[in-house]
Amino acid sequence: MRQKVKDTLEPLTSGIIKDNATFRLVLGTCPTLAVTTSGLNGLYMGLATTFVLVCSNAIISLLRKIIPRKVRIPCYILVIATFSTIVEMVMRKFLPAIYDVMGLFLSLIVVNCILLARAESFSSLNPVLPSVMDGIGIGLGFTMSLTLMGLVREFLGAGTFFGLVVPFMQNIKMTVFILPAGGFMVFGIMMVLYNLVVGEIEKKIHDYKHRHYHAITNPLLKAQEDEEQAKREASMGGDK
Amino acid sequence: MKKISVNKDSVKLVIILSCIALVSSLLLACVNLFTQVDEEAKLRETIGEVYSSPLTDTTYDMSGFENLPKAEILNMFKAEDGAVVILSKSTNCYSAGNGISLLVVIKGDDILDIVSYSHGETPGLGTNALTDDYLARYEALSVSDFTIEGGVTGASPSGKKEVANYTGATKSSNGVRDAVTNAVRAYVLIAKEVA
Amino acid sequence: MPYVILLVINAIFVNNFVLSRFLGICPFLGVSRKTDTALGMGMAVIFVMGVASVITYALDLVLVAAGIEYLRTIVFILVIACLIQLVEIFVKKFSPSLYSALGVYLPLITTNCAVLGVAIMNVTELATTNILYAFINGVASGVGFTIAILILAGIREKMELADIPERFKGFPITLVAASLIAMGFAAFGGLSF
Repeated sequence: MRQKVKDTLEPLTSGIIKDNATFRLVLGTCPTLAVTTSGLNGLYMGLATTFVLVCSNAIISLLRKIIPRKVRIPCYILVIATFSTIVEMVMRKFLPAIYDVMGLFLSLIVVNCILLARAESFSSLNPVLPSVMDGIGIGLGFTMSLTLMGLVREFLGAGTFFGLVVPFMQNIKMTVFILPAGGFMVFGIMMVLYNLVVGEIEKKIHDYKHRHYHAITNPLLKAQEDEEQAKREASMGGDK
Repeated sequence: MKKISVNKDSVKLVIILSCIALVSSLLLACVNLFTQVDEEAKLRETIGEVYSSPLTDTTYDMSGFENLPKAEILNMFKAEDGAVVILSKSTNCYSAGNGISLLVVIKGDDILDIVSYSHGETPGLGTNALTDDYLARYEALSVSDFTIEGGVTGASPSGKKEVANYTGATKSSNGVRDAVTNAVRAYVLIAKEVA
Repeated sequence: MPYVILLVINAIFVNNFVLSRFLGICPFLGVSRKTDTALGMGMAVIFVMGVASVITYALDLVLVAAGIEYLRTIVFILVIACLIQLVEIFVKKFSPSLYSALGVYLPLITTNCAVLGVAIMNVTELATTNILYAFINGVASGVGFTIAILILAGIREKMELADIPERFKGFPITLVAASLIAMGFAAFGGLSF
């Protein structure tokens, strides 16, 4: 049971940090650069993409046995385009200000490589629940990095934090950061920082687990665990 | 035998693809029913807040009008007191959004009011050229300060009044200039003709 | 005639697709390791964008006439996907040499947002539109993309020899280089038209 829960949650957590779409997989770079002129814009764009990703992942995973291999790409594109148009229409009705800011990039969610990549590599091979979890994980990771980038660019370029004026930044704000050039620069440098920080943390966790493991392992326990491991492997082999 | 089975396969492909396409377009049609925005009603409401005189139902024929390169007249209304309210859009801006739309109120030969209707501009950058203070600089001008015919750039000829760009927001300033100039051109070439 | 010139300069320099509008960043970063592959990709994009602009513009007239503009995105992306398949088949059959030059890049263009971007822009952003302007805008935007990707590829070829900090190798240093190119292109924004 615990293993099952872990298996279900695994795509969720790995999508946010380990397989972060923006900084690790470098997918969906167009919206990452274009709409992150403020933190709020990044947040809305991320959430819109997450919605499309979760829905299309669920539908594609449901239809994975029906969709013929030869025409799979047009089928995926159809599903994704449907949901992204729905998001566009809903946004136009209920959030007109945000719709005006996103403009073209709301329609362009269709060609965001994250969606097609997840459809091809995950949801077309897995059942519905893990696919939805994967969608939520990757989507939240994407939202997080877009918001983060938006906040940095907004803070440095306009001297505001989620639209609130930061007093001491007003005299030293550098407009270049909300221009296209600053977008590329911030993205590059944040990619380095992300990999530096997350890489260090991952290494620490790995080391800690390793050391911990050896500390608790006395020969008797070790033998017991080996036995369990063998049993588990045998049962898994039987399933196949 | 082999040929028939190939045909069967491709028929299946086509059927599945068209089924999915059909379902998605039906779904979209449903959503569209619920989320349709009545743009004109919304626009008339906003104009009501901006300008006190009620609008008439006069419509203008825009078919012969040639827009400036990056500008477009979205709508034109006549108020009961003779003023003309023009919704003018320019795509000259910083963001990837839907450009800048301005409401320009012209009466007689004076620009009475300019209000930003909707825009997708970057806060702290393009929005600097959309503040009331900046737009007020255009309100001081009259129709005779603009070039109506001639060069497509719409730049003011020497000797006429000109509004300087907002430093650091060149593109958006150009966008505002294009939108206002285009509105004035539409006013002179179409609204005045009808009157 | 002057409008055409404005359109071309605008699409190539002032609002360069990659460096100012952020469309087509994926191939811009992914296929810019070598100058000749970058050129191949650029040529394929110019070709597809030109053809796609004409077809989608014509289709949009039909959509608007039928009152179903909300299907725009879904129709455009399907048409572009089919078009790229067709182009691939045709080029393969009639010009094997061109196919060997473009072949690898053609399928990649399906998810290039620049193509869908220019198709949508042609019907929503251009003030004075007809099918000829749409075509010119498509081709000029493709040329803008090609220029940007060629400059970046040239820089990246030189960067192979440079001593770059370990963490910056790969994407990060490419992005920083792109940032400097974008700063150069930002100057074209001052062109007053």
